[in-house]
Amino acid sequence: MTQTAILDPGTGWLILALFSIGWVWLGWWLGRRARGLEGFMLAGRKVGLALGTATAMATWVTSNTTMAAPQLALQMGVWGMVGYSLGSVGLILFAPLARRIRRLMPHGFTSGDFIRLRYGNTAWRVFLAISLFYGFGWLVSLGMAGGVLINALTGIEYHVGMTVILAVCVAYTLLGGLRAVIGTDFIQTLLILTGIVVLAVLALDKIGIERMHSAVLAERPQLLQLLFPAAIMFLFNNLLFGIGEIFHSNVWWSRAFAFREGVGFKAYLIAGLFWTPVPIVAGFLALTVPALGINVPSADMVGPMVAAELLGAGGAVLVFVVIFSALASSLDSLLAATSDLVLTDIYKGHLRPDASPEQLEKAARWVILGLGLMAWLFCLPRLTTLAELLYFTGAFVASTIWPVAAGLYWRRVNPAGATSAMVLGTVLGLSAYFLIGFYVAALVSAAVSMAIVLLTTWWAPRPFEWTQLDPQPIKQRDTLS
Amino acid sequence: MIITSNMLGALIVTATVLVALAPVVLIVLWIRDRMGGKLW
Repeated sequence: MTQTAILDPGTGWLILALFSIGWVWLGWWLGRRARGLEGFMLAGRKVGLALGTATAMATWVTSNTTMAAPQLALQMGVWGMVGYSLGSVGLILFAPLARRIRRLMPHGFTSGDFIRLRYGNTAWRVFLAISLFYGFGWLVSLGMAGGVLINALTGIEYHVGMTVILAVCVAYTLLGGLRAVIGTDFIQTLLILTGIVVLAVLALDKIGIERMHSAVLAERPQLLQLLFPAAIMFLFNNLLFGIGEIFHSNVWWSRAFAFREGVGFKAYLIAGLFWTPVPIVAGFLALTVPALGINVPSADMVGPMVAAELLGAGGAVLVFVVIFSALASSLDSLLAATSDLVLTDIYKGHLRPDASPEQLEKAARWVILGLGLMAWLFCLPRLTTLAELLYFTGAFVASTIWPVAAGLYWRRVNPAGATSAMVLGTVLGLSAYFLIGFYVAALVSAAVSMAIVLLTTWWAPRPFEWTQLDPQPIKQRDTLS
Repeated sequence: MIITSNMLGALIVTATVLVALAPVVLIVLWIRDRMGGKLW
């Protein structure tokens, strides 16, 4: 058992087994009415407001939120957790985009569809490289988080925990497609939010604001410093990172396509508003470290360790449930959305353009399985800390903000300019990551991308007809029952 | 410039109350969608 484990492995296994069976059964039960390709990939395009809001929240509340928010609070103090909470701006700004996407592309399947139809094949391939790299990186980050957290909480070996969480998510996504993902997200959201609130209330009750503030002031006053330059840079960087991640990622586009007409705007707006405080509630737990006097061997373990110290074995089950739910809710979404991208844009778009819906539906399951297997292989070695991996990808995703947003609203965006914006934004953002620090990668990337899109559109505008954005519907043999 | 104990407390308590409200809102929306036949 590891030094930080707060549950014995036997109890850990019992909870893991119960939840694994529960999620897989629920995934099958919810997905049993999905018929045809659209039923499997997009839940029949009829998801309502409650499920839509919950899935947007659950997907954005990842294990990275529950682990990286305390980690960033421990490294950057108040600005660390406030900066992380600005990730919600992406959700809020995506609300009008979701409405426009649904209106302009009623038969769209992926974010790749949009880039291909709007800017052509070169931009599409650049975008796919960025999007798939990011999606896969996030998937690996979540798989690693699963192994680390299960190990930290129960002592179950990293590789075993990581394998179980990946296998469970692959299983229920395979069985029920997006219906299973969205349905389980609703229950997972309720569990996560309730658990986080209980933890916060217990921490406030046991430590108190005064004691926490005095201990931090005495031992690590820089964490309470409001003029912490690196942290303020991080705040803006994280804001842009969140916007870039949401604007480009098929996780959010597939939901925009899957929601009922009129639901997308409200769902993303409500989810964004309620997500904003989550990293603050999860993150402030790290500020109790000086008051508790605990030794944190690895920054990304600070959340579970504080929870263990505060709650002991009695509350450990709660922590485990919250983290397991957060992991599953994001992993399943990512699996489904990335497999949609691989299926539609790689398999159908490049390898088998004449594939029938039946063949695509069968291939979708193989893609999910293959992605799960690849993620498992990459998770075997523990590559880097979670925040590092997460922010490395910031340079990639922030470069897509302007090509996506401008492409949805401006008729005259230059396609070559949009492609160059993604390439040069990524290259210079990565340079900033290595030369300056992780907290400026997205900032530099977004600024470069914006300058290129604006300049090329001003210099050589290219008119575009919005009607060209709606791809031909893939003919269905069945519809959702 | 250091954040005061009161400001930190206000930030944390406000955030906690908002997060506590979210599940209630979701359940209300779920009931409304279910009754209107608009869940899926």
